[in-house]
Amino acid sequence: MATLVLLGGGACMKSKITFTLDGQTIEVPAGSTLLEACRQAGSEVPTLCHDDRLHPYGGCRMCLVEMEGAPRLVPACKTQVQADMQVRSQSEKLERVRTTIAQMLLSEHTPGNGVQEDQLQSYAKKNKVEAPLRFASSAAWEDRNRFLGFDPQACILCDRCVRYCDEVMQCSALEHVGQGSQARIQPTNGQSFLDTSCELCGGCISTCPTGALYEKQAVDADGKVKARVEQTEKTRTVCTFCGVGCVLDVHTHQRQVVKISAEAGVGSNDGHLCNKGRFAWQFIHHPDRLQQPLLRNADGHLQAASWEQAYARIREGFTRIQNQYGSDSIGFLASSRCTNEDVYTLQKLARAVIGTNNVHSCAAT
Amino acid sequence: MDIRCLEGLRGCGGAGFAAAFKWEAVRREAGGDKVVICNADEGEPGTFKDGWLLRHHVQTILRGMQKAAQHCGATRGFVYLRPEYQAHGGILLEAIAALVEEGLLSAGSGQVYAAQSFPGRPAVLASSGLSDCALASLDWHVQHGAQELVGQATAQGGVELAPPSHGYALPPRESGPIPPAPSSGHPFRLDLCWGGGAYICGEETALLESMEGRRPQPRHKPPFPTQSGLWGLPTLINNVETFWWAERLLTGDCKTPAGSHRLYSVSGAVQRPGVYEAPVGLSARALVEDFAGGLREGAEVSCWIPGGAATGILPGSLLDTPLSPDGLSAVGTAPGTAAVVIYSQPTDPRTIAAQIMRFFAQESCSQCTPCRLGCRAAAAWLEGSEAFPQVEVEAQWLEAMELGSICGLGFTAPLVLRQWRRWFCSAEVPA
Amino acid sequence: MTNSIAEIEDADCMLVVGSNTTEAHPVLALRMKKALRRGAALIVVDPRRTWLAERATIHLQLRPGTDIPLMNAFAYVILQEGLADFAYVENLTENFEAFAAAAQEWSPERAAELCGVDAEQIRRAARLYAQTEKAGIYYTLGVTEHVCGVDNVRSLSNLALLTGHLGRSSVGVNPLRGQNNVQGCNDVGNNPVFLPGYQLVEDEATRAKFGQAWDCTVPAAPGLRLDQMMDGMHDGRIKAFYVMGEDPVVSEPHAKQIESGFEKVEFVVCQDIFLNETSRRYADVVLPSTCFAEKDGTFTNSERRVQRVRKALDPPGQARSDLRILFEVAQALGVDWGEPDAEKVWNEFADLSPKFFGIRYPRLEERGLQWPCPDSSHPGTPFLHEGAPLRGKGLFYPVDHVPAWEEPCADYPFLLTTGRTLYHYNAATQTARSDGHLDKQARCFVEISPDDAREMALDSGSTLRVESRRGAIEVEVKVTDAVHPGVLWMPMHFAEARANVLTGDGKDPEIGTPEYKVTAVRLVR
Ligand code: SF4
Ligand code: SF4
Ligand code: SF4
Ligand code: SF4
Ligand code: FES
Repeated sequence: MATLVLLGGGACMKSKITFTLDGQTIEVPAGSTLLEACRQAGSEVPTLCHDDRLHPYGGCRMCLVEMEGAPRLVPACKTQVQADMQVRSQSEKLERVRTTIAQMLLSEHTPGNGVQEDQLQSYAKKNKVEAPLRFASSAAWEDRNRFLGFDPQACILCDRCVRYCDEVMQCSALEHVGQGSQARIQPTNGQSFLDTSCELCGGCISTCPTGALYEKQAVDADGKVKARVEQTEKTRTVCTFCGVGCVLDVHTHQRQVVKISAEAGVGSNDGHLCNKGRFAWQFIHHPDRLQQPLLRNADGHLQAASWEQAYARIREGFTRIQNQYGSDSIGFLASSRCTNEDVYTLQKLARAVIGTNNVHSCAAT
Repeated sequence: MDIRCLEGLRGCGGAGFAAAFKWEAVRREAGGDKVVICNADEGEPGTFKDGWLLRHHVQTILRGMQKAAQHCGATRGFVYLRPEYQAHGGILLEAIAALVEEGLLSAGSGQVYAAQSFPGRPAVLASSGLSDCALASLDWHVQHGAQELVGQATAQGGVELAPPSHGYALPPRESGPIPPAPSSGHPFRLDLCWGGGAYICGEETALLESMEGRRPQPRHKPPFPTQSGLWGLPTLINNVETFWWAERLLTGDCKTPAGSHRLYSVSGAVQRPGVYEAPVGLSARALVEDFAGGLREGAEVSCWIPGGAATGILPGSLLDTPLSPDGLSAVGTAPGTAAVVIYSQPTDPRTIAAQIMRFFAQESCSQCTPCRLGCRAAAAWLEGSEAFPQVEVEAQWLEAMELGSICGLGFTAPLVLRQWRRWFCSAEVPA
Repeated sequence: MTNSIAEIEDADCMLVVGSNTTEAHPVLALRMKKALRRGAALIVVDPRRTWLAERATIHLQLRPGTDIPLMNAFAYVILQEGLADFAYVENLTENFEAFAAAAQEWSPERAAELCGVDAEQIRRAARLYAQTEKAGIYYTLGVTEHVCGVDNVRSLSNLALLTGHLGRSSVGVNPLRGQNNVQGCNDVGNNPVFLPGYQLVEDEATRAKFGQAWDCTVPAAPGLRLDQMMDGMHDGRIKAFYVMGEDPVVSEPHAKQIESGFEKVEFVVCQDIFLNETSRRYADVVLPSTCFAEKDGTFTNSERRVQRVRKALDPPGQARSDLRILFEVAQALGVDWGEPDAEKVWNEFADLSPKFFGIRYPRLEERGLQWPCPDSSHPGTPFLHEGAPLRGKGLFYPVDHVPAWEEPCADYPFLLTTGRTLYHYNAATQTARSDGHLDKQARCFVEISPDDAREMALDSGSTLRVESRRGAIEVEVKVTDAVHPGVLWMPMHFAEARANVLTGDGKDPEIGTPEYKVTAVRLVR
């Protein structure tokens, strides 16, 4: 079995080292990258191909900085701080090079559909960068899966999705194929995501800086985006599909869920979700949802009723049973999916109102 | 081993790094597991001296590798061979077998592996029946549709693609003892690894990536391969010719001082294209006149390449420039792989520059933005494409390529455009 | 879990028992993947060759239901080779002798024969676990859903005590909770013997405390467990049910038996977001409630982290939040609790429960808190048993092999075991309503080894009847060498092919967890 030792950017030991950044002496934990040091010092260095959760790549070259003694500029995300380094993270030259690199990327990039944030566009807007020329766009891409949308024309080949799938999921369901102008991202062997080792976790979407990869469920059948990401309202909550308890953000627009995402650095899931947490939300708006109380009528059918009728029936039912057989003949079952507050209240109902300790739930683990 | 005689020997693969320094660097690294790799992925357009050496002096090269291994304390060795050099594979394996027989290499040497290529890259070019000289320019000229083929390649007709053949992937990291070779007493197992077939595979760290089974994308340096190379082990990577010189210098076979001579690949509009050993500092004119039999009948120089495609083009008026680091740097370029290509009239120098740039744009591994997109734009500018009128941004783009690329492909590519502007273009030279 | 999820990636040896982590807890498994990539050792104990098993340093592909002999054999090796942490055992544990004596019964050779694995592999695995400083145990339902579920867990905690692998970061014994709030459900007292905060009903002072807070007399008699309630439907002890968000007819084993029980029950209230088998057939009253995105509250995940659930949407139609419904039911029954408010309910719970006292909503905003958290300045507890086991001394339990409730025989020669898949969740009431998930996995299937398939001339894709003594279902065949001959595996999610039609009455005598994991079946083409 191949064993790969990763010297991730976050690997930091206890000891500290000092170096010079923009004329200031800075102390950082040994093993820090220049990018981490710049963040610590409050110097804003743009990044596109970097994700703290992935091994530094150093491909987009947005984060270049000047380092004394180096023949060329070095990428802050992929360079470890060495003691006594002399580094400049802001200068006219850097400004020019960063602008140029943004120009280059913009000239092969068509803004995505807006389901996802586009960090390249945001950078361009903020710094007033425009594409001075246009390269031919790549061919469009269609897939029959319903979760992952991909717009190659928005892709800037930062490889984050590929690396996410390799390093985090270890599924290797995406690949960077070809070279030069032929280079592109595709699901392994150009197959549908449904036919590869892809587990539909959507992590590649979450790391994509341009929105080239996006949540397909946020686009309706005729290709219209339900809501751009900035139009949605985000509510931070917790996934209900297993005991890992991933923290996630539900994006809603006009009382409908548009998509679910998770933010890196938040919760013990650190922005990762599985296919259920990210995509299994259709049930929320499913027509089968119960919308009013039902009562079983004399001939055994369930029939719509008002809440008052329902509560009256409950009072009558429980009172009769209690009187006839005693409180301990009533059992309370709560799903282990309800909230603590719901379950607490249910057992209180059993113990304090009905007067029984018959409370439990399915499957004790 | 005393390697002082190597002082002055510079790597012959293009970058020209001091060979003895690398040998020492690897020797000084701690630990017993080290690797020596002979870079035989000769892919620089116009260059074919490594192929020629492998055909004619293979044992010298392998003995050089063995000495390097013994000096550095390396126990594993590989020849990373350009997959188009199919015939050379057999020659190499025979030579390895002979040296095992002789007791210089450990038993078990001569395994055959295959490195990773870029997914989606076309299969290797079929090379049977081609001279090394023709082959040297095949991928460039055939794939990129140049009109004038170099040297004798013209005679060979069509080229078909062959599936990448032979060998199995290199396992993650084999351990297990390597038996000492009987005559040297030093354990050194030497194997063959077929290259990935892309131009960038000749870049030493892309070469390592492809050997380890990944996309051949160059690594960031540092760490240098001498510190952390194949499987993270200290690794000495030298060009074929470098090992050849080293062996001859160490055995005293070479009468000229280290670094004073090189093997020149001469091709193009000359009488006798071929590989010539000539002193460094000789002018291109002398090389053509005295070694290659002069220019082809009636040919008039339109432009020429001093050291492989990456060194760009020069005008005929500079044929007297000494082919030395200093001489060439005075005209904005470098000795590169010492591959001199002469183009005759009426070839338009701009076409040549455009072809080189298009070649780089195609062969860019696509890892870093400045090279992937900069080469593409530069090629379009040289091709004079209508879609790319914005020459104002050229200076900035070239600067970003030079300052911001990861490897030599990206940061030397602008030179081709700059040289064309400087020597052939009447328009203002961008700063 | 004794440890935190984030700690897993720093483990140097992971002993994963009966857990197909990459499918059942995908995001937690990412930490394992990261540890693997870092070079951590992995020992997988599972009858099925799972994703992790394929990459494991050692995969012990045991016969389902033989975990205890295997773990005892681990202990045997550790004792025999002197790999135990004797200082830990000496100072911080009790009952070692009895345990050691039990373990001595199970030489690797003896266990190997019963478990169907290689004795040398057992030795290697035991050494690897014992000799790695940072070694953690992770398990799920493959351990607990057996007649000897509790003893299975004890056999694991014995190992941890024996090697002192407890009470440090990345080092401990970690049950991975199946449903999202199993942990919280227990914490807040959804248990017949515990009042909220793990306070025993038995204890008079506790009852008095709760009685005062709730303005009632808390009944002294411990209640019935789920399995006892299910039996109670037959013997007349249970006459009515209030079911919140459950579907016992589908989720409980031996479905026929459950169904006939519900026939006898006189009054059933179901509160849920969809109609399910139980409510459709047996409910007298069905109350439409809310899903997670429509309510406020908290969930507590496997690592004991209490996290905020926040309302993003209004419930559809006339549906009401669960909390409001419960308050209104109480009111209908004559008790006024005031306005339903999640934070107030939590505070009432925390006020009454010392281990949770320090956990309050405002402190949960950023990243939640892991209990125990006794006061408002306490930072929460990332891993338990630091320094010494919580109860002072760790207790060894001598455990021995307990045969499965039902063993394969001539009539029912296959051993069926069940589990989860990546694409569905429990009874799939929600995932089966997601087209994109059905694209990937639409139907139930049964995994069968190539040998068995050949013998019965079965191909992947053909349909097959799986019969147990209690029922039969039709499923699609999937031939795979992930299972050994004689063993079948089936996911538990699919309503039209309910695995629980087949499962039996076996359950753990102490806590009543049913034996979902071993059922004797036969195949009929
Ligand atoms: S969805 Fe997940 S598994 Fe599929 S390609 Fe993206 S990252 Fe890989
Ligand atoms: S799809 Fe997104 S993440 Fe992947 S390479 Fe393109 S821009 Fe980067
Ligand atoms: S996202 Fe997946 S792993 Fe996380 S809690 Fe939800 S179901 Fe579990
Ligand atoms: S400079 Fe070009 S070849 Fe080198 S790493 Fe960058 S993209 Fe690849
Ligand atoms: S962010 Fe550093 S190179 Fe892309």
